[in-house]
This record gives sequence, structure tokens and C-alpha cells, in this order.
Amino acid sequence: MRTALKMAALGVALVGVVFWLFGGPNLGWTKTSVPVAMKDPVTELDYVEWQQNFVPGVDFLGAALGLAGILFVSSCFVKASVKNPIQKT
Amino acid sequence: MSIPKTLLKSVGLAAVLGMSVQAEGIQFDFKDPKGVNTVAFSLDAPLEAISGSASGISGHVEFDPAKPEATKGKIAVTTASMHVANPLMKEHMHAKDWMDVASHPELTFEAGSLSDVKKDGDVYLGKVTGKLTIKGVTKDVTVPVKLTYLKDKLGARTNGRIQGDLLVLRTQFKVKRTDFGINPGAPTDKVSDEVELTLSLAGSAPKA
Repeated sequence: MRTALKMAALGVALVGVVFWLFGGPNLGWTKTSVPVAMKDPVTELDYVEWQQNFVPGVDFLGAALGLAGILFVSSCFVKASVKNPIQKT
Repeated sequence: MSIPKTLLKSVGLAAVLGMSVQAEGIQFDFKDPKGVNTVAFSLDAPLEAISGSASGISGHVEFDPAKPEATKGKIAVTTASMHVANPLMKEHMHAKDWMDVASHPELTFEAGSLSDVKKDGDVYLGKVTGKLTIKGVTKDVTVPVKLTYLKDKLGARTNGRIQGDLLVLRTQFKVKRTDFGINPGAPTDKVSDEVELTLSLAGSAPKA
């Protein structure tokens, strides 16, 4: 159980960091939409169109690392399981 | 003492002419079904930069290419259409402390006059004076404006279905959010007091 929790902590931290890195890396807050610059051909007006897109921010990274930390600390309070207990006769 | 009939007729004719002169301006409708019209806002605080836009725009502007000084009108922006990329920030922005969308569904700019007009082809540069109302607080403001009159260009935007003129309005200016009671207690190092507004709008005047 202890090892499983430590592995889970490592997994959550890695997934969080990788997801954040590949999403930007965005140093701002998490975004669920991103502005796309557009230009109207007739009026030549510049405007933005919001497109749905999840971009993880530092809050996402912090939450992932925080959860990993909780899992790791929890693992310290769990007794290590014994694989081959010596059977008493 | 009797007033001669010819004088009465002259006065009547002058009044009618006067009315027709007043009504010479072209009425442009700024409700844009194409969704191009936007008001962009940006706040640049030392700790955080915030930017977003609003698209719920409506209103009318009366513009006469021969008398641009007489330009007047009103533009309204629905506060619920204000959008930022972060959903939690958007929720806070719409809440009571900030824009209070529920109680103040619109912010408006009512243009009264245009001054210092410089014409360059179809482009008119000037300063528009009017009343800006945000969150129920109205302030007199004078801001630079660029108007581009595109005669007979509406057809190009509607695939020829509707013919008419276009009026493109561009302006950029700064306001202080605390002047309009927008969360005056919020720390300015996180949310700047100065808000830069950029209006990029196109109005249409279909021909009957």
C-alpha cells in the first residue's frame, strides 16, 4: 500500500507537469477558451473569436503537485506490507 | 394685425426644409449579426494582466458625411457578454463586487458631438464627447475616434442580399474602474485601476 501511494504520487506529479508543459507552459491561470485574432475582410476590423480550448495554468500545476504531495505524505503513515511473512509453526 | 399667407407659407417651408436637413444623417445600426463588433478590455497590473472582450453590442449612430460634426448616437454593450479566458475569473467579473451583471445589464456610451474633425478620403478623425455609463455611474468623456464611411459596401458583407452603407468606428481610451464604483477596494497591484477599452465596431445602413 505504501509503495502504491508513492507510485500514485509520482504518477500524479508527472502527469500534472507533462500536461502543463505540453499545454503551454502557461504561467497564468487555467484557461478554458483562447482568443483567436480575426480580421473582417470588408471593414478590416480586427476582432477576437473565443474558441473552446483547455490550457492548464499554474493553478492546475499547483493542484497536481499538491495532490501528489498529499499522496506522498499519506504513504508515510501507512504500514509497509510484508510480502513473504515468516510463518510461525 | 394679420400675417400674410405668403409669409406663413415661407415659414412652413423653412420648417420643413429645416427638418429635412436635420434628418439628413444616415442611421447606422450597430447590432452586427456577424459577431465582428467587439469591445476589448485590458488591465495591466504589476502582478497580473487581464484581458478580455465583450460582443453583445447594439445601438445606433447618425452620421452625415457632409456634416461629420453632427454625428451622434448611442452604443450599448451587454455586460453579460464580457468574457475572459479563465472561467472563475469570469464568474468573479460578473459578480456584484465587479460588474454586477444582474443589476447593471448594460454599459452605454452616448455620443453628443464630434470635434476637431479631420477628413482624409473616407476616413474621419476627431474627438467625440459623450456620456459613458458603467455600473450606473455616468461620466462625461472626450475620446479620440476614427470613423470610416464605406459607401455601398454593405452588399459585400451580405453576399449582395442587402445593399447599403457601412460605418466603421474605432476608438481606444482608458478609464479608471474606481471612478465607476467597480470594486474600489480591490488591490491595484493585482487588478489595475486603469482599464484600456478598444472599440472596433461596424454599423450598417441598408438602403430601402
